[in-house]
Amino acid sequence: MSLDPIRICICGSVDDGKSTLVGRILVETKNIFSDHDTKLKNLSKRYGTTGSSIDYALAMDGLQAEREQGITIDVAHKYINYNKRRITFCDSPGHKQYTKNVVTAASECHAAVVLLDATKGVLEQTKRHIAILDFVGIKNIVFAVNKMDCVHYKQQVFQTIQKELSSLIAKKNITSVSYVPVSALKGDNVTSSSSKMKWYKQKHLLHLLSTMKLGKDNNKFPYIALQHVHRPNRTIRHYMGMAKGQWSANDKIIALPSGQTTSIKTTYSGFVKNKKTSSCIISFETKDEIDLVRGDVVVTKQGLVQTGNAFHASVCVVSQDNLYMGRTYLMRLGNKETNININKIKNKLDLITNSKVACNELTINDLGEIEFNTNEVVAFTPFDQDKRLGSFILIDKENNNTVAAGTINFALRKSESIFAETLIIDKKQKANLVKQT
Amino acid sequence: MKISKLLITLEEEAISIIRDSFSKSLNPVMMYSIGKDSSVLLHLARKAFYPSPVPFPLLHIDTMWKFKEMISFKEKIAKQHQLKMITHTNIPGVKKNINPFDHSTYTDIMKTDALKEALDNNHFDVIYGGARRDEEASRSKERVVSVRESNHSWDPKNQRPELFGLYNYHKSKEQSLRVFPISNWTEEDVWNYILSEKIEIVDLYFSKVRPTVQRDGAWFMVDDDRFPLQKGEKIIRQSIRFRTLGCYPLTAGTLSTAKTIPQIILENKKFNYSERSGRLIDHDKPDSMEAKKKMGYF
Ligand SMILES: Nc1nc2c(ncn2[C@@H]2O[C@H](COP(=O)(O)OP(=O)(O)O)[C@@H](O)[C@H]2O)c(=O)[nH]1
Repeated sequence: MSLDPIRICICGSVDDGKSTLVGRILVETKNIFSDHDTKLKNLSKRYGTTGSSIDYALAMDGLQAEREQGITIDVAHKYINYNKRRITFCDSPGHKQYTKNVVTAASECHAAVVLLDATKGVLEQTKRHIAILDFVGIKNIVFAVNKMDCVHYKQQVFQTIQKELSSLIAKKNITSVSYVPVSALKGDNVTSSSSKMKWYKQKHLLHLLSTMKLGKDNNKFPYIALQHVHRPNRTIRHYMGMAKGQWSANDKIIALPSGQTTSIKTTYSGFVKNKKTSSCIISFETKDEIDLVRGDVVVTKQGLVQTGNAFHASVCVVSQDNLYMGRTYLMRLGNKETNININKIKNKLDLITNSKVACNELTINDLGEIEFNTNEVVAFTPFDQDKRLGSFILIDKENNNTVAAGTINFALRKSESIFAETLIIDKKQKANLVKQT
Repeated sequence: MKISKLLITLEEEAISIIRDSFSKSLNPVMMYSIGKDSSVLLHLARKAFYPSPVPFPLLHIDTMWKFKEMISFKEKIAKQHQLKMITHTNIPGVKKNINPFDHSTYTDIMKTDALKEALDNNHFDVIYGGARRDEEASRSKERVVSVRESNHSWDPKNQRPELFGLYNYHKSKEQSLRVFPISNWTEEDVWNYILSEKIEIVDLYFSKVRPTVQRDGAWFMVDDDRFPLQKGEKIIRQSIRFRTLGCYPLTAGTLSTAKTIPQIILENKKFNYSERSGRLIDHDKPDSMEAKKKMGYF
């Protein structure tokens, strides 16, 4: 049987029932082994919050500290096969303190489930999580309104929350949204349709997740992002990287940012030599010696992949260290590492008003926009064109901590940066602007 | 056999992680436990650098209590793929006759301490391991690139965020990085991959008539005459196989007739027991694996 892999981030505020939900899915799809089940029953007796019945949440909270405190601290990864899909659940913590772990979970996922407590409705954390999902480029979200059993399965409660959510996401880039009322505890609409909410006409949550259409990666532009130059001896260099598109020997290539050209002499993908390959994992030799190092990008023609040294970007701060204007950080953009200097902190997202406000520094959990210069010219694409070439992290050079995650919006040129300040440019215009230059 | 889309995705992810971290390492090493996960990891490393040989040594911690077949398999594989194989044993532990029957601290001394000693002696900075997140609860929480402190300890409450798959390999001199390229593989994926790539594994994984003894409801293989039989225990010859491989007195087998990989996959689905249920090391306390990892174990 061929399975399609999909990774789903589960987020929501503390106690909204994330762990209970995923735990139940694991148990009901028989993805929990019976010895783990016995462990679960023992743990339920010791730490459980659900009386004499099994506390499904304990299947997820794998760390001792998590069970003792009854909270989720870090991402748990769980795997199920369902309906021709390999679904990986990345259960993320609800506490604001551990938001960096939500960003970690979300940034590697294709889609997300945002959980809400029907008795509490939309919270600040809900807004934060939606903003984070939008920031990392997730376009598919299922909102699961949980604990419907506590509100007598009333349609009105669900509708009120749905309405508030839909206005919240109106301005975001999220393209596919569904809403489902559930009770993770009682099992309504989780892995089977609920008889208590006849008014809900859609499918249950797991069905939605297993049939959800993922946006196609619309970037067909071939490139190789160089990861490593291997030198088994003095004469041979094997260039290794992550490829997009098809590659074969004799392809003419341009190395970015240097702009030098040559052609491919030999390709290897796995143990196979010189066969046209669409494998993502490629290794090749070039005909001429050119300047090509880790972090460079190889293309066959000018176009999508650009070069630049000044950028406008969105960031999310994930460490206790603030992000300051004028400070130097080490940046990893794609596979390239270089120093950057933050010229401007433009704004941060105010979650209450859902608007951008001016500020001078960004602190932990803040989402905002910055402008920076890089020490060297680098190859990149805007994030919305290619995630791999348009995302970066910032590293504190003193303590090696990862300070922020970022996505490139567009490159700044002198004339453009004036534009960016005086006009409010929406994403489409931004993309056009970049193309024009 | 055609490789599935899921396996292609997992393979690409793993090879990418291996190359990425290798490029940023000074003195890398790959843990080699001789088990199926290590065999997969080794295969991926060979594929990642082909046509060059694997550019780092393999490290095996020999407790002196491994199955005999494991050790001969290790020697064969090392020769076959021209690998640099480092084997390390806690010699003072052996001299004191620390053994799995009499000493509750056996794993700490013969495995964890030995591992730490080998890593310290060689100053390895990037250490590849074949651990998977589906194996055990605390493993499901660990990062792909896991920062370990000077004493190799793991702080699960304070893990470095991993964003967009852009790993941060920067660390202080005292720290080291454990890198887990097959984090997101399940046991079933491992078997399917072994099948489609025709990866060689130790024969102990396949069912065969072996000398066994029943203890605490589990079946153990009597691999040599160091296994002291207790009153009433008898050696019975019957068909068993192993789902994980470790020290033979601590690794329970499964009564089985599965002689091929498809049969193993089918049987595992029916059993509904986790692969580590045969590993005694996980059972002492609810959080024993986590406690061991915090001390520096894999
Ligand atoms: N009544 C009710 N309680 C629930 C439901 N889902 C979860 N809970 C309870 O809410 C509490 C928090 O659940 P948990 O899964 O730990 O939340 P998390 O912090 O989001 O992972 C636990 O006591 C659960 O038993 C539900 O659908 N209905």
